[in-house]
Amino acid sequence: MIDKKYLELIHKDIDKVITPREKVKLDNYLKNNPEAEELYHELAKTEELLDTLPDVDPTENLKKRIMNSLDYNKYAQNRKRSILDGLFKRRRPVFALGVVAALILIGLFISNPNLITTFDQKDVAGTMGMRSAEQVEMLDIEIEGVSGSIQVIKGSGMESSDYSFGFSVELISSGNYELEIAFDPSITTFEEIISHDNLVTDRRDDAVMINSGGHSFYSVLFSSEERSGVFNITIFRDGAELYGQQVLVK
Amino acid sequence: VYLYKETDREDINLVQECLGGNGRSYDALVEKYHKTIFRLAVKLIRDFDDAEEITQTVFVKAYENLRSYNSKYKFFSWLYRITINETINYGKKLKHNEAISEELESDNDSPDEITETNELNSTIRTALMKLDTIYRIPIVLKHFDGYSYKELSEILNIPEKTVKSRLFTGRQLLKNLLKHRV
Repeated sequence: MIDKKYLELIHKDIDKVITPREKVKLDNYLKNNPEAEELYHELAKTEELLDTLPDVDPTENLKKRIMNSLDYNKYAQNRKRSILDGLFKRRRPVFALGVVAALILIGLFISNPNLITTFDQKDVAGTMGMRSAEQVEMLDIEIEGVSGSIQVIKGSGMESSDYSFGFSVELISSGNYELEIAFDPSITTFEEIISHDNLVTDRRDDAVMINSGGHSFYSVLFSSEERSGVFNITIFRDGAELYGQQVLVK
Repeated sequence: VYLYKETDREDINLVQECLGGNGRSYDALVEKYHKTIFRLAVKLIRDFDDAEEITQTVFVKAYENLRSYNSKYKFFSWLYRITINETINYGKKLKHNEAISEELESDNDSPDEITETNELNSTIRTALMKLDTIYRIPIVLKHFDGYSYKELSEILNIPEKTVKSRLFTGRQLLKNLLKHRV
């Protein structure tokens, strides 16, 4: 008779999910229980037999057959315009004014950095092409060699069904740093980075990375059809993580 | 933010591109997964031609129902789930067991080895086929694809506890079916 508890351990061992402590217990039990030991070896042998089954490949033309069975036009008519499409096509004059406003604002920031600390969300709305915007959170950054703030803004996009999330970043750094904003690509789309500097940026499907240093100010804009979004803000220097914060924008 | 692996993110992007109107993005998914899906099917149903047919059906059904795919889960897991459903449907229709097709056999071995290897492979496949699908599917997924209990629970839509008990029972049944070999 095999103890149910040890029967479970036998299967856990076969499945390679047994803990070291459980393994010691099982080994001791097997030494003193020939019936359990026999079962263990039979099950292990069964697994070995399954290992001998070779992998087989399909015929060369299977892929082609599959592709020939697909209706590639099925989703063609569902092509949706992105926010930027909307901005460029339907609201070209508004967008042009927004760009001009952004350039003026950037010019003001360069000439008077103090303006940054009294940043008006309405300006952000104009700059980012939002209809309206509100601050959701302000992240104060005080870490080794990097200080400043990241203002998290939520707004309604130009398209009534869209929402915009913005990160207005002002950081002063003694050396270069990398800011990564990670997002869920299934519900959020990266739109653009607005800056007067020539920032070094990089992208993954689920993240935007900005490499900067000194006194930097820029805004990163995302759009979504969802009202809320989750973002992971991380600051790196020389590959080491200096700061990490998850932001839920509701 | 979901902790996607790079390959999962790629898959989701391809699905989104496809839904966005670029149907050809789906080709990359076919390219990436058709062999794996076929290999799963051939282990579950044994017949080579029917496994190809099931693979084709799986990709067509997935494409037709792409909107119902929930990107919270891996695209690959979703394909697996469709494959399993198709295999179960196939099993219901199947009235006879055909001998393993010649394409499955290796041609690199000597005649003696071929006979011995083929006989062993055939015995194992026959034993697997004799298992009820509720046991065969978790065993194949666990053994050949290394899925965790949790992942199996997600793919098979059953509690983890049930996954474990089906694996345990199935494994013991398989052991008995292969008794003369073990």
